Amino acid sequence: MNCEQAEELLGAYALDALPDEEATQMRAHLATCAEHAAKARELRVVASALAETVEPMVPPRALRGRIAAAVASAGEQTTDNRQQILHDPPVALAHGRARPDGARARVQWRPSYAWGAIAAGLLIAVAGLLAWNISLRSDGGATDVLAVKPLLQDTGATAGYVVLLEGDRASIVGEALPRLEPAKAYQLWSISTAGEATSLGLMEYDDAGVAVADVSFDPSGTTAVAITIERAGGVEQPTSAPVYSARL
Amino acid sequence: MSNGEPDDGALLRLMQAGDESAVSALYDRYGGVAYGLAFRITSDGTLAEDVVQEAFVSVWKQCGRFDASRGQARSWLLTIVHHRAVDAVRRRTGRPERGLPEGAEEFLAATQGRPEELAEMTLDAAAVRDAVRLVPAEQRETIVLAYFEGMTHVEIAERMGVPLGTVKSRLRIGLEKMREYLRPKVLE
Repeated sequence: MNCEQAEELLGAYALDALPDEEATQMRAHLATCAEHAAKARELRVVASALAETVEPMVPPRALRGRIAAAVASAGEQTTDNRQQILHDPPVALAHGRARPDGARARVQWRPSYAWGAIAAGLLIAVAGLLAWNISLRSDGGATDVLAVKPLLQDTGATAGYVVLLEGDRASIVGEALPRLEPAKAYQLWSISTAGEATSLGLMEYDDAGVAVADVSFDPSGTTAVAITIERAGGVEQPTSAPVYSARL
Repeated sequence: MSNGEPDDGALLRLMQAGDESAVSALYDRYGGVAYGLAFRITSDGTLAEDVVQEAFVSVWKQCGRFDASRGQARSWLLTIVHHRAVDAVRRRTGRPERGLPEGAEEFLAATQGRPEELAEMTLDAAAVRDAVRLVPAEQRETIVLAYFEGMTHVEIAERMGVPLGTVKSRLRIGLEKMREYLRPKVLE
């Protein structure tokens, strides 16, 4: 997508009116074009202000109590559910699913379809761009970006993104991944359509403390890239549920 | 707040500390606007209730990731309500759900611009309504289909019987006109 095409789509993007594929292309463009990224943010704020045009209504009286009850029952999953997810127990890979008891169903080997379709863009903030640019230029040559995919939980929480490059290469930037204790490491996996995991290696911290990796893999048989927390040095097969994954 | 009640940022911090009653306080403040928005999109009271409940629970679950110094909790909440309501109404009408993002980090990243332009973009209802009125009717109608019906530009083109390029232009130009109208108020 070039600048002229992106310019025309700014309004539709800000209103979330782009079909998934086009939205993904737009986000990839915004990741490389500061001018349009700034315009997109402005128009998105304007678009969200449309909510102000609606008259408030008095909700049914019971709703307040329902919400309080729902919050109470969800209470143990917050206020820092990232930490909880990091401590999730192992998951059965073969089923491509999180634990069958559903206690933490949000952690899945296969990213949920809906969230996988969201794609990258919205999270690509200026700080992320910096890390990304560093990563892209690490080989010193020009690099064509094929797509940018978000690293997501199915809550919508994001940790960074996977940048797919020409030549079966990818850069992974986990800008929101918390730094781990030295005995642990973030390990990357490609997930096949059968739910099998193949190690893509470990993420390392760059000078800014951001977990990053440049990897090579064949995307044709891969449905997702996932990140688990493993012991330093890595493991042959994952021993814990993914903390984030990107649907390809 | 002038009457001594905690502001939205303080409520978020209370939630982050595990105070469930702060959710009820936030609901007392914004439940009406959230329900109004959900009802406007779904035209269904029961569906709107479900949407509002899901949205407040989502805020509770994600509050640990929301930096109140970088964005407004009210806008975030309404964004979640909007996206959930759009999905609910699309599901009801047999259209594929959009799965629009509602994560705290995504909201902050998508709306955070240079502080002097956007940080104070607290847009009151009267100003936004004036801005919408300023937009020519065909652009306004197109924007409404996108925002309140949750339609893609392709769906809008089919509905209105106009070329896709026309829809794209209307959405962009319409929002730009609103932005120009609202910008001086932001910079005051």
